[in-house]
Amino acid sequence: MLDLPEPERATFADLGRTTIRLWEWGDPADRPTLLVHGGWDHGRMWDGLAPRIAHELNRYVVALDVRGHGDSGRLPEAGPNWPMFLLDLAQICRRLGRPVTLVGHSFGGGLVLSMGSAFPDLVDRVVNIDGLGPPPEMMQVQDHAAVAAQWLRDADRIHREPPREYPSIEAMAQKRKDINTRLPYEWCLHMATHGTKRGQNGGFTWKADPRFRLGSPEPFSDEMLIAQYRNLHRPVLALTGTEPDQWSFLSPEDRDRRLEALPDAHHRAVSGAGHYVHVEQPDEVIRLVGDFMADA
Amino acid sequence: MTAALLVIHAAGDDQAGRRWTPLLDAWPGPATAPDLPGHGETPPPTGGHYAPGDGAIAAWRAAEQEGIVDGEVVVLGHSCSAFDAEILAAAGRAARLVIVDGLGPAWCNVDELLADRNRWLRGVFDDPEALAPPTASPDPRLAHGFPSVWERGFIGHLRRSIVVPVLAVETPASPTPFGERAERLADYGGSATMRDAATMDDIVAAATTAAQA
Repeated sequence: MLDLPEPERATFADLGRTTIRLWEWGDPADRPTLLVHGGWDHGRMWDGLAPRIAHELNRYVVALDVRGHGDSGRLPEAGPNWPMFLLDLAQICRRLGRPVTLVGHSFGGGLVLSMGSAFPDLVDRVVNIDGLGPPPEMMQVQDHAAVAAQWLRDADRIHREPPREYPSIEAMAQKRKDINTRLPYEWCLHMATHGTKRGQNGGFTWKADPRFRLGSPEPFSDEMLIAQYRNLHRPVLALTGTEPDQWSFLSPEDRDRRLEALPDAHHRAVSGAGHYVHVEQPDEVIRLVGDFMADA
Repeated sequence: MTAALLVIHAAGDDQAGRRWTPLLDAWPGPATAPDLPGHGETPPPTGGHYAPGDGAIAAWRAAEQEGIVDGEVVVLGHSCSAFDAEILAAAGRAARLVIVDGLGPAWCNVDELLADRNRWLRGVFDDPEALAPPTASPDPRLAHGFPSVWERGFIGHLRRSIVVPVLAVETPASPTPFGERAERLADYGGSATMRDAATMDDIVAAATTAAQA
């Protein structure tokens, strides 16, 4: 197991319609930083980085479990919805009481960029860790009929079937390792330890809501992403890894084109890292984020 | 055999399914107009959030529970819920599609889509009733409508994938620019016809023509 301290405080934010799990580090009087994990992950993804941001960079650090992940509320029957996540984040930021530095990884990186565009008054700057969106060819849905049919079928199946159970947390960590080959096994075990719960039949299930996989036809495109980036008038630090990783899909050309759309972006490619830049190279990430924050 | 009818009422309609009682009564086969989540007698969705198209899942499940989806199903979508009906049709679950005032408002470009989403987000964020646990029906959040989906490329793609016959019924309440009606009808992948209607009786008369293939 990794030798990481527990979060200093574990609380829930009651947002009225859902409940969001918060993990906290540092002094609430310091400037707030909100950490947003990637899809299928949870807030304990930040157990390594969060205490260092709190105590080396003197920030009040809050990591959340995004709705449908970890201990937070469940997703609607129809699945995830981008504006729903943004409303959750905006309500958390409002409670933090002053403009927040947002740090997001992958799917969470996409959310924090959207936050800067939709709620600029709540955001002072944005750190995006390998989360500049899917490649354009993945966003070009050629076949809405297939997407619609798949969405309805998957929703039916999840509605009918109980979540899959595994015999042990170690087996789930190994499954994770098979998918995230660059992520050290100890981290896979850490994520599985905090990302699973007892099932009804004596085994273990993922805490993540299986409905997170549901995707309905919606107008999401490379053009829309670029339009959103052009509208983001906050400083952005974009971190990517230099190493090939099956979860870093974006070509350098598409990455640079998207970075150019951001009015105030600073890009750093971190050597020796893949998709999980902050897990693989935490010292370098702390140094870059510290410089970026000091620049304010 | 006469097809069954599944009506997806307009999201936010305070009459919910009841608005469609005259059509259910006139339909020659089995017919249902379930109250969507957060409307009438149906509780809100988990987490109290709504999105364009999500009525497709709720309405189909209700029709399944009533046991009317084993044969042909005609799906009717009203106003913004025509989008939900189109998703069911695109997915191959509708034998025929009827949309009432469903051809959509003026097109948005991507900048306008984004601006509309941000406007919607700010509206809900600033409305305590839209964030609090819902205590009224329809859910007060529904008064904000949805972020627009009305980008021409996206809707055009979706409609081209609909190959079953489409009947578009247009009333004076339609949000569609009059001069664009024919062009929008031409987007569907199969045959599409249009009927004008002024009253619920007219709508019932037009819609029941879709009962027979």
